[in-house]
Amino acid sequence: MKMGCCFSCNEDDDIQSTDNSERAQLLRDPVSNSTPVVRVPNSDSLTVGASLEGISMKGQEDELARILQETAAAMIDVSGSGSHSLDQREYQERSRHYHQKIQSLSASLLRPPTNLLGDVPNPEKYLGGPLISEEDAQLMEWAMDEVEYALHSIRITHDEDLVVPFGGQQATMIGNDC
Amino acid sequence: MVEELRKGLQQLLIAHNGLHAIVISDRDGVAILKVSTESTPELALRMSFLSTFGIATDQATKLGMGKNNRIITMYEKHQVIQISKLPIVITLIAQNDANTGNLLTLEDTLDPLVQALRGDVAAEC
Repeated sequence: MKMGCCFSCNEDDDIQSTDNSERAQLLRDPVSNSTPVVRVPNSDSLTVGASLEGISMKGQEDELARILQETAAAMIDVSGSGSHSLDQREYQERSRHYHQKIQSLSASLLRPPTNLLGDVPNPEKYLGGPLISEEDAQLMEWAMDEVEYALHSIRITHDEDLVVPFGGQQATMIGNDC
Repeated sequence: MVEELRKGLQQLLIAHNGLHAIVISDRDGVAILKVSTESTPELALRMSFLSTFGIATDQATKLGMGKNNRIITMYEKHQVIQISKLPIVITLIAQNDANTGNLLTLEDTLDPLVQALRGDVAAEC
């Protein structure tokens, strides 16, 4: 059995560490070039990208801070830690301020909602007026009778089977078992 | 003018069956306009109660269903409807069997008043 050894003597300018252990990285990972490996104390991990280290660390810290901020904002906390009760003085001051502000508001801001039925002045004029003609009353009765008949005449007719089997063969087998 | 507005709110109280109180307040529970009947529980009109909505609506928005607009809380004898018009909060206190859907329509009725108050309240908070 023959064994060989291949190594490179050219020092990479980017690598600051001269760690020659078995975990020393010979080739830079093109994927993680933008996210250099950070050396963790008391471990065998490598610090890569020495010349970019200052900028990368700062960027990474900003990124971590941003993630932390977003996580804190998204966390649900109902303990009431965010609440601050107003003191009496501030409460009275605000009340006074609001009272002054609403003095200048118009009562028309509270207009009632529009109703389907409207009020008319002098209703006795309409209530005491002539009745509708006999023909109009009969026409209305006839129309309502027709509408009622039509409603009661509604029927549902089905042309297809109400129960539709899926998977013909399987359905047939189930049918046979039953 | 304040009395006219209060009168208008009182009419809304009468028009909606079971409605006990209408409170228009800021986020911290400081009342701007308030009308109530004798049936209203007094604790529900206090700042400490009204201010809970501000916290609750913020946290409810984080539940992943979008911005929280209203919170309806049902109690044994009453129901409390709180509508977010931040920085203004509308609180309606009604009987527990009052028509909740009908009461929710008050949001549109009170909207012109709320819009008029918004700028002043935002400056204060």
